[in-house]
Amino acid sequence: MSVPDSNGLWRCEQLNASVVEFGRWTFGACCLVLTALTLADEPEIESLADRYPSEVRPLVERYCVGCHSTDETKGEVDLERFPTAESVRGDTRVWQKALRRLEAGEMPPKKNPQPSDDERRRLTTWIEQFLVADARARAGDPGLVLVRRLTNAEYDYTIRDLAGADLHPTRQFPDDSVAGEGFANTGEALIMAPTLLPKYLEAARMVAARAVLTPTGFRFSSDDDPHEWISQSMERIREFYGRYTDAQGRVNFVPYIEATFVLRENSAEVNFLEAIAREQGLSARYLRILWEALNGLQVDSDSPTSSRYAAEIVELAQLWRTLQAGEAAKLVEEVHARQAKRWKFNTEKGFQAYSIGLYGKYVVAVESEADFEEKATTDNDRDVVSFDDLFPFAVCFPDVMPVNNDVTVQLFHREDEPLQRLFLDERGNKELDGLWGEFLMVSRALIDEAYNMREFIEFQPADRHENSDKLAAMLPELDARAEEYKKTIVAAEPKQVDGLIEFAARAWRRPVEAGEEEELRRLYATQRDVATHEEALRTVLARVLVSPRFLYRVERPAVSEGAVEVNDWELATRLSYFLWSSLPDAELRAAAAVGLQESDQLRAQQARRMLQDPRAQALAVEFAAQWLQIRGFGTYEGKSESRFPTFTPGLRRALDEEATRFIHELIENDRSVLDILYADHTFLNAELAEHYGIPFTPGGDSEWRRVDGVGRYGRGGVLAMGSVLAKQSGALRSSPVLRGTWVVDTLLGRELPNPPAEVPQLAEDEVNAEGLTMREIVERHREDPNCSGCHNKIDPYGFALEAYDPIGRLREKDLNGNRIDTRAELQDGRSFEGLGGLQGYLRKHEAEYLRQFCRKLLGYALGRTVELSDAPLLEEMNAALKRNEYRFSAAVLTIVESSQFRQHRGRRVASSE
Amino acid sequence: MKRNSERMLANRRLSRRSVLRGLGATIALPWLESIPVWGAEPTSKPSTSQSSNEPPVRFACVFAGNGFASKHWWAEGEGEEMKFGDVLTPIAPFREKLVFIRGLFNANARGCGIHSCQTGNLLTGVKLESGGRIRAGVSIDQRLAQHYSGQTKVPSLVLGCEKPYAGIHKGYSMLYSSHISWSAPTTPAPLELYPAAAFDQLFGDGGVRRSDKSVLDAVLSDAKSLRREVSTTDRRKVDEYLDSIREVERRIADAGKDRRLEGFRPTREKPDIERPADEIPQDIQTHMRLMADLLVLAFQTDSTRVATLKLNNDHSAMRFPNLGIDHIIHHLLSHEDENPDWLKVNQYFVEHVAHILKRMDSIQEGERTLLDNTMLLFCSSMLTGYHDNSQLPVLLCGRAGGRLQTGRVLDYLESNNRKMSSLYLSLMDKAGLHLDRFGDSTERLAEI
Repeated sequence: MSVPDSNGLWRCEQLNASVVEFGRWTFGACCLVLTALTLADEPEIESLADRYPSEVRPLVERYCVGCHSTDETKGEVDLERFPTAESVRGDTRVWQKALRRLEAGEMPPKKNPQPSDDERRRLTTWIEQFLVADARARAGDPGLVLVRRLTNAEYDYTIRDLAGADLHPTRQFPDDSVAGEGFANTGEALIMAPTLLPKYLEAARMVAARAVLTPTGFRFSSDDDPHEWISQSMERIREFYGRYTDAQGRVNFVPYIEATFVLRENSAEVNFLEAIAREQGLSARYLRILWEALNGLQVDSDSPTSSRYAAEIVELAQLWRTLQAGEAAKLVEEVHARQAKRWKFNTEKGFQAYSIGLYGKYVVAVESEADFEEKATTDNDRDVVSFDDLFPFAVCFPDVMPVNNDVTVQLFHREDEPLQRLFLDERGNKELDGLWGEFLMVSRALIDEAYNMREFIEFQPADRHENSDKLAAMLPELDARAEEYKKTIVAAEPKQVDGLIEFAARAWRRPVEAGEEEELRRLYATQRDVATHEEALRTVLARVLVSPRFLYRVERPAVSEGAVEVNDWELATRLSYFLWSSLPDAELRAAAAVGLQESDQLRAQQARRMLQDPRAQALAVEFAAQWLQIRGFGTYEGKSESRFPTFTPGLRRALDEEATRFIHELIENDRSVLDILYADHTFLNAELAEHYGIPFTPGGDSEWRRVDGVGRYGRGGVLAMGSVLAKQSGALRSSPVLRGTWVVDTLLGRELPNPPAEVPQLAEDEVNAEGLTMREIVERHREDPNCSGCHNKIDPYGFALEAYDPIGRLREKDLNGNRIDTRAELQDGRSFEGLGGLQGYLRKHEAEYLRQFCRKLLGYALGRTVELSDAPLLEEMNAALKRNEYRFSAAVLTIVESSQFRQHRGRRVASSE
Repeated sequence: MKRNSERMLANRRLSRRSVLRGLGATIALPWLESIPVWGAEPTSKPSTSQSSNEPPVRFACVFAGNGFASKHWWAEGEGEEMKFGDVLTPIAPFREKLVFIRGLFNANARGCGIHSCQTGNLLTGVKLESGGRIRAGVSIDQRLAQHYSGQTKVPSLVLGCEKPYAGIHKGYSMLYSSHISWSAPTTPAPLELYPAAAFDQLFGDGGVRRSDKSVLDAVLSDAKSLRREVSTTDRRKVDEYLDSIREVERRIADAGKDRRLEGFRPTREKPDIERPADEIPQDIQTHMRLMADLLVLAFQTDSTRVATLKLNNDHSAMRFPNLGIDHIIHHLLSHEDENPDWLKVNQYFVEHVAHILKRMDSIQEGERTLLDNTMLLFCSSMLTGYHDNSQLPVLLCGRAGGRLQTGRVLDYLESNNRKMSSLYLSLMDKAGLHLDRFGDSTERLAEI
């Protein structure tokens, strides 16, 4: 090997050691690429290419093409089809493979003519240098990324965020396959077909059918039944009322009075008052009104208020002055006593705000007209704040719907004037009016009421004339309200059509172009000619959602020879599908509008924000769980139900969720990616804790809780997760081979050859006639020299995990009753024991794990296989992790800044493929 | 009570009863089926290559993963005298209507590794692409579907009884383990796992209504303009979408037309089974049986002439509690060639094939039965669970409309041409599709 400078020899050794594993991106290789970039005397790709026909090709023809010809293609390798160095650049993968085999001395096979040492060295050196030069020349190439249909998961998340309702429209879609680095979000695996398209059509109709028309546009419901929309709409009003009152519309005055004591002790300054109200979840407005009344003052002012207070309030204020913190109930008792004196109820149960009755006008339930008169006697001097003004019996009618067993003509009843006046600020009032406006539109109650009343009058018995007359007198008002209301419906239609355009922009993840807007409006108009407004609207909604602009993550590259930046909207979409598997939210859209490509700060700020958003859970499932091969463990069915009765669907879901919560928490709190291996905590619910044998007391609202110090129970990190351990086992036994392969292949990214065709079979049941442990069975298998070569590289890691049974429980004995042995001895003589020992081993081999992590994350982010030209980026990711305590975000941010992520190949370049 | 009165809010009409009780009937307002938004009758005509009243030749492939117990997969003798290994005993009653074929292989499925790369190209004969990419060629069933295109309601059925896998196995997407039907070289035909959805494709609106026409027209034009804006490589993907839209539009246009005036009249127009439940059946027996029945029904009603049915995946994780074999998944069991449980599972699969044959043979189409008018290929992508695909297990059932001489055992092991692709060329001939080449072959298989 001819390298001119004094460092050359050293570099060559590095080269040899590293390039053996080039296909797996050793850091050595990546470092080398970077080093090469700085060294002017490294052979240029042109000079290497020049040497190919004379120096390299003849060697390949002499020693390789005999078997690896285009006709024979032994081992899937065809080396005949590379007449020029340029053609070598066209498919470097096969050369990486060839290099590995040459380096390992596996090729040419011993029975065939062997190249001389010099020839072998010439060949490998050239391949190495050429691959490095090629990677260097292509560094940062965005690569070939096929346009991607949304995966099923992405479709569901996207609809969830678009409609605000988790509808899971893809429940019955065929499962997505994977390609690239093993993820579903890869264009090659995402197909469309005539049998699939109707499913998308149906999903779009399903979503469109859930659009609920409102006075300002539309929103989506979880349901397609208009009656449900009414219930939900009403529920939203009730929830609003519930922020201030109990189910009867009555206010609990106690915390308000207590708060006034706090103000009295400290300060009644507005900011303080508002802070107290916020802290206590009280209405600042009412607290202030109450404070003023009890002090006879306006807040922040020593002057008497313009209003006079009724004598009763003055009395209460006197009492208030004598009371201490904690004594509010005494004042409230007084208030209740006074209320009771003013209101009489005929029902035995006392006040019940459900019985509005035919003429219902009052929030307070009355059973006879006589009771109305009680109220009529109250003071109505406008300048005086009366007791009723300040302490209404109830402030709203939270039932909304009058429920009356006898007669209900009136379909709703809104009475919340006291609430508005005393409790709501401008924003609150606007929100409440909005909810009511929506309710009226959804329910069509005003139209129905006028209609119902006519029907009802017809049904009046003939001998009840006075009733009918009284009712008929109400008709003009009802009709007028109905007419007024119809106008608001018509007035809302254009706003709803505008809403379509806005919806399309969100769904298509970019501004709607003028021609597109025109087309959408035209479709609405032609539909409107033959159908109702609502039907036409839903058709256009469905059309937006079946469009390829929605179903595919479309990128429209500029015409260019080289790579070009994706536009701001495309970049925002790449970012949101990378981190959320869903569409950009309002904030990210705003960032795109400002110019996401122009500002690295903005990109980083958005990426950080998004990682902390709950939607980043998708990254835990779609990336991490898929990588670790436990995605969908909740529906895993690989175990014998009879042998493992505790392996219930509930437990499987819990095991699935444990992994999701664990990874998501790591992402959310930006922890070290090494925690995936070594963490001393996990997330448990009661069922899972029992499965693991960890003492557990549920805490807080959730049945789930983070539990620290689980290492002493043999848990912590993915290696000890039941999902991983059970998945890498047989139906009736643990599997050191599967678990070992998982460690070596999935976690460390080491390449393993295919097993030979004729492999002896291992017992499938731990309970076997010979009474051997799985370890003994596997070890016997390894005695076969045909097997030991590979199995020595696999099994020790699995043996270390033998303390976990086929469903991931800790055990001391296997199902045969034999003691478990978790010692692992490596070929090089090193040994370790159990989970801790394996984790210790991994600490020494962290570089391999990190390399694999970066490779998988990059493959997921880009939606394609990681290529040689990505080597420098992988190295950057690794360096960024090291600089930042291995925080998850370091890897993500490096990807987000990369040209691979921010560019695509120009159209002309792509079309030459 | 509350709920009832809430419902009343939406009521437009009130009976006396409802007024008095505060109750009401509901009025549903479905939006898409309510009004025939699209009024125009379709104008396109289906192609009519099948001009005679002859029953058409149907093609089906029933697939079982991971091969069979090798010692029990054999047949010998001719006609009535034909004898079978234990795996095949369930189909023995149909010995005179089938051909046992030994020694065929798929060269492009060899030397690449195991499982995924042995299976995805079973019906294409083309080399599979690895390294995270996906390409497999077009499969025989989908070629035939194109051939029969427009003559039946549905071009083909692609059924499965086991979920596809998401994973990469030895450099090959496990999509290859789950898909044997390919409508384009890079597009596997999606596997339908839901009996109800398959039923709807055949006898319902297939999820598409005439009123969807306006939506389809609009998105078709989206796709066309998109095609101009994306890179050449992406066009392939956009074309998948475009073709799907066109096919669905064709079905809408064809719906309600009586194709039968022009050619063969099937013995049955309407399904004789109820629409299956929405969900995937919990037990394998029900699932496989339903799919088998739907396949037969699809042919009987001439709703399609082409179908594939994957009883399970290659690399299958199925277990068989119904046979008392729940301790091991299908794939691992397949590695125990001599285990009696493996034989039992093999026979169980063959029983489903026997069921299909029995049903088909009981359906009379003129002088022949449906089975006589069918070519049903039963096969796996390896001979044994040890991934040995130096030869493949192949059973050809039915008489292809009298064009196939049955009751025979054919052995190609020593033959110069023993390509599966050659068999496919011969089979396509019998369906009237004459190609110069298919997969890795340019010549027909002798004797077929």
